Amino acid sequence: MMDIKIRGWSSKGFRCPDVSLDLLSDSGDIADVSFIQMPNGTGKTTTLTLLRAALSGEAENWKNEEIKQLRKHAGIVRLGEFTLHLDLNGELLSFQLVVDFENCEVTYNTSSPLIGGTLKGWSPPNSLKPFLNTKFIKLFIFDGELAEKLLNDEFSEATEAIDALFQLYLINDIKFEGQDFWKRTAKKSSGGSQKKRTALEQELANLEAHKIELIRKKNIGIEKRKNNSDRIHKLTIKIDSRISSVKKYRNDYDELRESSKEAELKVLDHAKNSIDAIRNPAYFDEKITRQFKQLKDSLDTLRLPANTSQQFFIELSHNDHCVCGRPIGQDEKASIIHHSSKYLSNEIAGFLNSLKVQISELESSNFDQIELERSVNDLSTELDNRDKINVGIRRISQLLQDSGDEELKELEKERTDLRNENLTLDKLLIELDTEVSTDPLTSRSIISVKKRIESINNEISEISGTVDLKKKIEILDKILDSVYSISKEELKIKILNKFRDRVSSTLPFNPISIESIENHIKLENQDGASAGQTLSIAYCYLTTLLHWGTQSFPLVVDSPSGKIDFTVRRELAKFIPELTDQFIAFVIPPEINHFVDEMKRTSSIKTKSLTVLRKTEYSDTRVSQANPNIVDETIDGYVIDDETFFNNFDLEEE
Amino acid sequence: MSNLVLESIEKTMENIVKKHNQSDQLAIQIQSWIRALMNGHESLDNKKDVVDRLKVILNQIEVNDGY
Repeated sequence: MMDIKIRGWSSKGFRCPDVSLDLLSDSGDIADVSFIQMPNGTGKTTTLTLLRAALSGEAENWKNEEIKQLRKHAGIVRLGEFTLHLDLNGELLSFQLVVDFENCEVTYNTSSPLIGGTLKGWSPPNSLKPFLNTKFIKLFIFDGELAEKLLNDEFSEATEAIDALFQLYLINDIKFEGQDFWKRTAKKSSGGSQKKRTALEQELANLEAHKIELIRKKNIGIEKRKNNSDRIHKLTIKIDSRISSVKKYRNDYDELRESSKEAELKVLDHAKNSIDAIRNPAYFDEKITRQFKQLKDSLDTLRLPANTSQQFFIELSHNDHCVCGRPIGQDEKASIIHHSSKYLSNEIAGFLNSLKVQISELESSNFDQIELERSVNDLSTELDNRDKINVGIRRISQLLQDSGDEELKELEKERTDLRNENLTLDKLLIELDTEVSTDPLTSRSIISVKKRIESINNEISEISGTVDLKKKIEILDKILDSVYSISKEELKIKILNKFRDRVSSTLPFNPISIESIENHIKLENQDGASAGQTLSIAYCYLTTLLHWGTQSFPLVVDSPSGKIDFTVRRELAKFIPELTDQFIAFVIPPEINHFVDEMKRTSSIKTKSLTVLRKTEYSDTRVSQANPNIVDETIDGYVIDDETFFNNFDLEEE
Repeated sequence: MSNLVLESIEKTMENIVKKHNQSDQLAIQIQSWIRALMNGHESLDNKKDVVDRLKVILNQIEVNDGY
């Protein structure tokens, strides 16, 4: 059993106001739901950063710049102290984070009866330790962006959440340790010329750095392209609505738009047919089938791949005598095995066998170049038709722009620029994923860089005499890959069933069906989801994971109802208390209506409503006028536990 | 939570290892390490433990069977 709740925290010397707060309800228990109202500028981001750091122990690795950014602006503050109090299965557990801003040093203290008192350093009980890593904490100290990423097919946050919860990432970490072990062993060995090894290691380091840079470029490119596409979609809606609002062009324009959509579908359909036809070598040229057949005959004549496969030499090494009649001793056996890798490996033999089967199938296909030509001609006709319709659409837009519609002109320009930018990004993304024959270090091909890295690693293993060790590491990697993928698939099935149940029981009026959990959460018959649906699904998914088995973790959310409309806010407010045992929401004043008030009104849970304020002339005035229940007052902050003050506080006038 | 994964690993590990022409002993050693890590009894931060574990596992791996 693992039941974790947050009791409260205190903070001093950081950018957020110095405050101390607890999340206990009037009855003395930890409140089921705590609302912490922190107007913009009160240090919410700093508080969330400190919460994550206290939980994960990660602050010891912070860079100087990160530490300096957290320092309180006003006054000369040397030390920052943040203490987080948790309740672990009913026992108190506290992490204290002490930051020395002068020397940019971070230290931790941990105290709990569970670890026998107070210990220096970040020392959670062993049973809790596996969950207090940054990957897992990201799930329950929830970042609004995570919700969108869970449902976006360009991200893998949904599957990474499973890795984090069930610690499957450890399997990949073991693989990393194996590779690292081989690299260190190869480095230590004295085999080969030192000069050559240094050169290879240098090239390897350059390639690794280049690979990281290329992958970074790819990720940025994908993200940018996605953002551009979203913006293009919104601009198109605006442009369509603007042109349709002009009565003179409305009918023609709407008709052309409909035709354009139909033409686009036809183009896609014909493009698919043409590609299928091009992929069939039999349709392409008679000579291709003939020459493939010759290749197959030659392979058969040479009895390839069976006779010279690597396996043959391995089996031969086990015999007492070679095929030439000479005896095979220990030296000969070692030599045969060592050189066997130079001949056909199992993978290449498998490839050749598969090629032969496919050539046999090809022989039964008829050469039909007319079919190919017909497909391409049909595609060309549809492309012309689509272009003609689009010219008509652009003509109407141009007429309106010429007649002085400046806003339309700007919208069209922005859309054209974004489309051009996406074309450039497409070229870059293709380049990054295409193998090249030039020097990988100067290329932008991720595949070529990876292949060269592999080849250098093999070379290093040869000259350092660690071939055997490297092969063992490769076997271990393959076993661990299988363990990882099989376990992951089994878990996904179990999680999907629970997740679906949770969605259908908590969102009975919302027709959302979950199709599967791939890298992202895939919805049934639906490409996208509204902001409200996205948040609802994210809450259901995360709480399914956080409350797995006998485990229970809190859910801490910054601005839980975000930018979503009032109706959806009310829906969210009704079901969130059912999802988790402790919900902590950092809210801003506009979220009180239709969310906080709705949650308090519709459920019987114990709530806590705190307002945290930075001391300013305005907040001092508001506090002195309202005379609320102040539970903590420091040099630069207030913590107010007062329902009326919470409900009526609004900084719009500030 | 990790029990669920460990159960799944225990069920499949033997077959996986067999597919790679390796011994049951290797399956036991890998499982034991994953279990110790998942339960928080060992950590990959302790490099001495990591090297000891790797050495035991690598000693169990046989490379002469087609690799």
